[in-house]
Amino acid sequence: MPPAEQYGYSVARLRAMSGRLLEESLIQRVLESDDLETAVKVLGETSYVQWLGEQKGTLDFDRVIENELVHGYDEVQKFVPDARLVQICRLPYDFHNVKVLLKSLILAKEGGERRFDLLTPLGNIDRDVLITAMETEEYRLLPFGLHRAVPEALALWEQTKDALVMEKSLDRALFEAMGNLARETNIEAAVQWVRGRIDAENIRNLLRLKRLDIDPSDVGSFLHAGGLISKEKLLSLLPEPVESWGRSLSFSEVGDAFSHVEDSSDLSTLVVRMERLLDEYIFSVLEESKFGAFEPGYVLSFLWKKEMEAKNLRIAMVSVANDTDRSMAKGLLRHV
Amino acid sequence: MAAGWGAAGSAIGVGIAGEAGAGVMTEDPGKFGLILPLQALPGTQGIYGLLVAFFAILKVGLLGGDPVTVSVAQGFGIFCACLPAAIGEYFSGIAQGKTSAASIQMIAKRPEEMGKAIILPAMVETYAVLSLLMSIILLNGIKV
Repeated sequence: MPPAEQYGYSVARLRAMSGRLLEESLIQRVLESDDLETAVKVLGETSYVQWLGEQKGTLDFDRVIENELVHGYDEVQKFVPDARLVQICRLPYDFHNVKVLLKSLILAKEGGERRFDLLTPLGNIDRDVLITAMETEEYRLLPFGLHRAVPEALALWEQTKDALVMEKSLDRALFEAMGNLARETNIEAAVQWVRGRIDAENIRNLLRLKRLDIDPSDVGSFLHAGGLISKEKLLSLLPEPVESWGRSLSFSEVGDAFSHVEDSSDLSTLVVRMERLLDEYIFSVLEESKFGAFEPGYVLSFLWKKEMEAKNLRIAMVSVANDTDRSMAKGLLRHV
Repeated sequence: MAAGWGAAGSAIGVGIAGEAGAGVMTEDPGKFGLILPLQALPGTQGIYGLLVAFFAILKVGLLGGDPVTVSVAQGFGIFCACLPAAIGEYFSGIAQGKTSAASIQMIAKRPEEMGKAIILPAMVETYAVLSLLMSIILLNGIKV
């Protein structure tokens, strides 16, 4: 079978599976629930019902959401022709686990508590394997460039005692690993998607740094190479008001995300709003894969939808649990 | 030629559609009834190829037990007459398989649109029929 048709089975199965994704109306129902118990009852009508039994009390909804996402990733990984497409999506969770373990190690040396409870099962690397590697300092066998990234991050910590420097080094390693995996697949949609994710991360960092009024000469170290928009172009945006960023980025689809920005006086609100718009931009990079019957990019598109479903559900459940303003939470929901 | 390439086109087309069908049925086995006609559609090219092959065989009397001696020119004429079917059925079989796979994916999300889903791959059938007709017309035109 020619490579172009390899994905016929996978894409067909994913299209059938997309019927199980939660519809916006259901998320709205969760959001409009009076209390968590009612929200959990609404979840009981969906595929999340299989995880409700593992919930330790109604406040433990995050476990339910996480279990469903892990199940989704595991299921897709079993039948896609190239499992690296799923690995790319799970990679940020591996690096999250590494960060948690490194910080735990540092805290433990200072007499603090190890926080293994913060580890997520969503990563590619089994948590026990990762814990053993970190505790025994046996990094050699760690995949995805972690065998180099972890000692580097530790060396930076020893030199600077600055957790932010350590995190920046790991983030750089994460995007490098994602880019390498995408290129190894030889799937153009995967390469473009990773580049889109780097753009989104860079713009997110840029907005946060602008809000914190960081010295422009330091900003470059927070940006990652390899995106669709160059680091130089992004750095040149910094002195400009955010309203004009859309015009400067109009050559890229991310410029559309800024077309809704009219007032940047409240940067804190804008950062939160942009989080949603940038997540939607990441999805839009895969727009061309949406209708193809044999498009490998549809795998990423489906998995990103699943991620956004988890994010929307988390926003809705947290809003119900804390009884916050529902209209504000509604504005944060991703539309993909 | 016509039977072989027609069958090859059908086999590839039915295979492509079958893969998509299996993908959908893994999640929703209840859609078997809707998927089956869509998967079977690219199978017609093999039948058309076989039909042209029968015409060619009849022409040279191989089926009746009384073979006719044909000249090189007549043999070349019969060969050329079979080409439209051989080429047309092969490529249309594959193309129809791809369209059927896309239609199967369509009914995975919208089973109520089965009517429209079947029309799209059926459009490809037009060109398989045109190839068949041209081969039959050409075979009829050859005097043996």
